Amino acid sequence: MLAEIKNISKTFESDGNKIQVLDNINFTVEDNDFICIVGPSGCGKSTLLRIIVGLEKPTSGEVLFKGEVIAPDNPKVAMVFQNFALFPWLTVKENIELVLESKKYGEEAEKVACKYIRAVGLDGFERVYPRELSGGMKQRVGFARELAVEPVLLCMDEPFSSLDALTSQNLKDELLMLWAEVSMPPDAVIMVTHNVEEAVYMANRIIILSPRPGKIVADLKIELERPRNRKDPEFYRWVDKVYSLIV
Amino acid sequence: MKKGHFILLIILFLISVTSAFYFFDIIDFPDLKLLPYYAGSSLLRMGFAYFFALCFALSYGYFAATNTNARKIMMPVLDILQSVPILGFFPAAVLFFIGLIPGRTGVEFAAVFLIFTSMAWNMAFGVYESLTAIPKELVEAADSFGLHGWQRLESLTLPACVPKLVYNSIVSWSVGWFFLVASEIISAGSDTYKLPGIGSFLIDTTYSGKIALMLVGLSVLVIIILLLELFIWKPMQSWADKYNYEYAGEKKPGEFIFNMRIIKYVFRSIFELFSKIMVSLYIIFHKHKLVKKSLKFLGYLILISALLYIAYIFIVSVSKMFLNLPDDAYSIPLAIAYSFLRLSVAYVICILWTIPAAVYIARNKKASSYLMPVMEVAASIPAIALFPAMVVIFIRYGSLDIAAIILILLGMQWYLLFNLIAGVKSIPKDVENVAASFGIKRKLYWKKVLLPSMFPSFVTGSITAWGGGWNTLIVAEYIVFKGQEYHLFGIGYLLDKATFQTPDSSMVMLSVLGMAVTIIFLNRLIWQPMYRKALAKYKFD
Amino acid sequence: MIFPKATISEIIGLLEVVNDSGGIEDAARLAADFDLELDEILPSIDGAELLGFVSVTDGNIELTEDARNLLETGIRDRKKIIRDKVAGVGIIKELTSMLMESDERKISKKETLKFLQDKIATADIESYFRIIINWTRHAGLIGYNSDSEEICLISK
Repeated sequence: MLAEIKNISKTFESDGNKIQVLDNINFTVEDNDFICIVGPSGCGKSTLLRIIVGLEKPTSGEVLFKGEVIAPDNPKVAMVFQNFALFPWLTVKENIELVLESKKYGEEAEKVACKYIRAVGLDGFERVYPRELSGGMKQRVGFARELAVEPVLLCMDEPFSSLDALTSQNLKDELLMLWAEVSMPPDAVIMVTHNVEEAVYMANRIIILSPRPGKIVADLKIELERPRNRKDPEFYRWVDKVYSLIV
Repeated sequence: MKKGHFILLIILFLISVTSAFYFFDIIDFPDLKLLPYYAGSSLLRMGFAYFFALCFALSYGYFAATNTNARKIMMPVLDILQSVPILGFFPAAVLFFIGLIPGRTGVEFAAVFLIFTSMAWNMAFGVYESLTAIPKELVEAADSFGLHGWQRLESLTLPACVPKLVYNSIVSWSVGWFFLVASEIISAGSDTYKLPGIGSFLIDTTYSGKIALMLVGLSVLVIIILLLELFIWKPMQSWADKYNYEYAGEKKPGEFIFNMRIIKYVFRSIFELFSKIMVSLYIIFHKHKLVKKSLKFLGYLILISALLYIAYIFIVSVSKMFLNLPDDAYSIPLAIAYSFLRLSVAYVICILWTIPAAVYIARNKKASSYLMPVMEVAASIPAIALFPAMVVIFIRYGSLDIAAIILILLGMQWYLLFNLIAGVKSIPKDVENVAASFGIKRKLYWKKVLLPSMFPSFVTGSITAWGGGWNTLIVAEYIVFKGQEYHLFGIGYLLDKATFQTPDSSMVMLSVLGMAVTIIFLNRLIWQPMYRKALAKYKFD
Repeated sequence: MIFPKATISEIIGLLEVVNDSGGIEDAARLAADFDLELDEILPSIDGAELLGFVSVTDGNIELTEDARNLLETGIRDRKKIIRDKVAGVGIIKELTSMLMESDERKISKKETLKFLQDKIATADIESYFRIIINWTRHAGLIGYNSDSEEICLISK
């Protein structure tokens, strides 16, 4: 067991009004899990992810990572952001080296950075600034950066939603290729998405949240062969199934 | 406690202290009873200057934005006007207006003109920028709906200017107060003209050493500024946000302490009246060919005669200068260097304290809810009003140099501080999250994350801070206190000396010229490249 | 000449999607499936065709042998295939040989834009420059330094 999400509830307060966004969420993350959390907008799925990573505190409950309470700067847990969150004044390589520097890799930093730049196919782009990159390339930098800290658990907050359809298709496939490589870091992935097809395409486990306050409606194992094909009738049955649970 | 309420509390306190002095005759000083009259006259001057500045900004900005040929000359001219220290031209302006209309009216015109010059340029820039930034689709939509003439002006052109114009108006007013204080006592040649007003009251009381009275005057000034802030600018900002198509939905509307419909209503009516006037002028201008032609002719006539006049003055003064170069002229470069050094020292101190302060204030909600209003009140006091007090302290206990540097600091620091706070606040949350989730902390965080993200706001803040600094310089290097004169060698002193002490128009001209050249040179060499870099490299998408 | 305004990521994405449909797909169906305007998907199709990854007949897009090879390999090997393909594109060939002949193997952006303007008649040459650099960087052929505003050969 990698991580344990225990009795997580979250209530926001604004102008004296209390809004509950998450209600008693429980699940565990195992090795080799590729979990997609899906649900309608406003169900608190992004909040849940931020709590899992430690960026936000739950109102009650706790997140245990390998038996210990999670801290935001835990190097074993990394987060990929929807809008890439790259530093515009740093080159591709510098962006990746930055997160390594804080982990005190020292001179190793450059070597590790180069390794992951190559892994995501960014070689040739090392000295390029983010503003010169297309959206797909930016998110590749995002992936390389999070992989470079060699996390055990990789969390992604709608990583494809600000990309166009074809680019995101390409990136999904490449991410799955990296995931299939045993030597590559994350032991488990948690991804938040509002796109059901995307979830069925990527995940081997889908957690469905209800509308506000978010509660777990279902926790499905997706038993589909990889590589998956969206034109496959079997694929559609799974998509249908997930939809029927959401609606 | 809301920020507005806190400011209100400060106002009430100041009012009670001031009225104690006013009603209970604590100090016997005849002018004290005239304070309301002084305050009113000063406010009126500001109002007139603002009105003219508004008209100028709208027409200049509109013309520059719509006429591509005119733009090529108009924008650089505006740029130079903005970077020239206006105070230096003042004596010449006074002589001109007094020559035109003798007596107090002429002096009043001169004072209003000086305040006008401190307000107009940045507003004109604002109009120009907003008109050129109107989204293309909006223009095309206006075209496709057949919006022409007054309809177009009312539905597209004027509303587009509102947000920037309101924001720049606030800046203009705070600069305007500074110049008001400077403009109410005017020495031109051997004559001194004094106008009744809060500024002359301040200067009178300090120069004669009545510090308690000066403080009363100062608090009256602060009360006026704060009341305007609460009852005019804040509601105006929230009203203007409606016209903002860029940030629709994202930006919080300006803070209201009282949700007063009347104020909103008044603004709308004023704006509508103003647009009606503009619109009718536009119609007259466009519909009647004869009027149009004659107006155009008149415009060219004024332009040409103004150019000829300037050329004439230039040739005369240049020939006079070089035939008979004043002795002081050779010390101008050195004086500029001295002044520049003072500005640099003040600027470095500014950087040292504002960066950590800005980060602290922007990050700490509780501290900012108390500190921000205090800072805003402090920033609203025109630096020039504090100078006499500073002199008193430092004549006794230190060097005049320290006093001058502190004064320059006061004229510079707020621009930098407020810009930096806004800069820290606008760092995207995800970027902060990246830093947090990768444990990027302390030195590394400051070096690679925080300081680079602050760079754009640092540059904009620095540009305005230096502008404020040069203007403060002129009053910071020369002062008369209790009939005695104190000065520091520098370009500000040379200018003041040539204006007040031993009137010498060619020295005034040369000093201003030297200063203007230095400023333009610095802008082109340092600030503009830095600004371009900040935009290209350090801005978040 | 018209150069397709599609990034390499979009082109590979297109190949993957067509592959899901068994290696051949109707352009209109594809556009409908992804809720894209035909105009949005056309550049990717043109780009894929220019690189020899698809053949287009009567609105049907069919993967070539090279495309199948590309999709079967991993990220590293894909890069090699793309390098060979991009190197074969006429306009990029010309740019490469221009760079070979130039001093220090560098050409200013200004000069490059002028060269492109002669080939591609458009008002927005800047965006074509970006796309071409996207291709050549991806292929590891030609890079661009935005500080010095020069393009240069990427040495292997």
